[in-house]
Amino acid sequence: MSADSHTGVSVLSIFVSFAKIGAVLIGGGYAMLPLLEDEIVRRKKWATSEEITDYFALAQLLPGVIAINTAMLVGNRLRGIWGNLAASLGVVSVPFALIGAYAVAYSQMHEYPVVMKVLQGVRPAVAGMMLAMGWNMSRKAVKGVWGTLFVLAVAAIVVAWDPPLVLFILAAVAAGIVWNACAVRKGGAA
Amino acid sequence: MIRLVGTIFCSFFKIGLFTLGGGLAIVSLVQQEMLARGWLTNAEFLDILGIAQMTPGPIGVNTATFVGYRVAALQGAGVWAALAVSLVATLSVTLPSVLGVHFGGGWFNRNRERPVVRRVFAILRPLVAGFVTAAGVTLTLEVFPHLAFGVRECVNAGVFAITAMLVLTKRFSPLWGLLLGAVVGIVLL
Repeated sequence: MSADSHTGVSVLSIFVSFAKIGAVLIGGGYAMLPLLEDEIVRRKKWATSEEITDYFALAQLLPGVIAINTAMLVGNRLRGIWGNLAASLGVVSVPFALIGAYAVAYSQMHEYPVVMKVLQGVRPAVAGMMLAMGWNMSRKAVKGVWGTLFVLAVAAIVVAWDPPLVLFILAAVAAGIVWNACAVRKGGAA
Repeated sequence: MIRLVGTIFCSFFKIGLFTLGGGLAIVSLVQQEMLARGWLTNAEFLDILGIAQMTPGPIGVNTATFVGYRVAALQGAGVWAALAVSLVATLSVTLPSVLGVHFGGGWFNRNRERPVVRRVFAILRPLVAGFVTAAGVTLTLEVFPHLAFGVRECVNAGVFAITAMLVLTKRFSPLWGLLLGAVVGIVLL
C-alpha cells in the first residue's frame, strides 16, 4: 500500500482534519461528501474531487458504515494503515465525546436545550448543502438531459420508496461489467 | 461484565460486517439485534436513534456508542465502566471496515485504470449523485414539512439558500453556512 501513499502528510494532521469533519457531520453518511470536498480537496489539496467521489462510491461496496469506509479509504491513500486508523478515529472522536456526555446526562435530564437548538438551526443548512452537492456531483458525473434525468430518477425512487441502496449498487456493478464485455467484443477495449 | 463486553463486541462487529450499501440499513440491523437480545425496548431504541441522528457523526456509529453505554448502565455498570463498554461498541462496529478498506482499497488503487473498473465507476458516480440528492430531498422535506411563511420558516429558508449557494459557487466553505445555522438556532429558535 505504501507504493501509492503520499508521504508528506502527517498522521496527526489526517486525524485533525477528519476530527473536524466528524464534528460537523450531521445528517448521515451522505452529508460527508461536501465536507470532504471542502477539507480534503479544497483546503488541504490531498486528493482530487474525482478521487474523493470514487472512494465514496467504493465505500458503498465495502462492508461497514459509509462515512467510516470513506475516511479509511482516504486515510489509507495518504498514509497506508496508519492514515486509515487516524482518519477513522478522527471521524468518531468528537461524536463519541458528545454521545458519551449525552448518555451520562440522559438519566438526569431528558433534554439538552442549547445543543438541541444548535442542531435544529443547522439542519436547514445541511439540507441546502446536500442538495447543492447532489447538483454539483451530477454535473460532473453525467452529460446532457438523459444523464440528468437518470440522476433525478434515482433520487425520486429513493425518496419515494426507500429501497435498499445495495441493490442499486450491485445492479450498477453488473451493468458496468456487461457494458465492458460488450465494448470489448466490439473491439474497443478502452 | 467481561461476558457482556464480549457479547457487545461480537454483536457490533457482526452489525458492521453485514452493513452494506449505507442509507439507514445499519439502523434496522441494530434495531433487530437490540430487540432480539432484549437489551432495549423499541421505544428506547427510537429515542436513541433520534439523538444519534441529531448528533454529529455517522448515525450507525453514534447508535452503537449510545446503545453500548445504555446496555452497560442498565446492567448496573458505573459511569466509567459504561463509557468503556460504549467505546468497545464504537470500535467494534468500525473494525470490519479496516479489513474491507485495506484489501478493497488496495485492489481499487491497483486496478482503477482497467476499463472494466472505469466503466463500473462511470455508472456508480451518477448513482451516488442520485443518493446524495435523495438524502438532501428527504432532509429538506423534514425541515420544511409544509409550506408556511412564518419568521422561523423564512429564516430557515435563508440559511438553506445561503449554504446551497456556498456549495454551488465553491468559493467559500459550506462550514460558514452550518455556523450561520447554529447561530440562528441559538438566537431565534
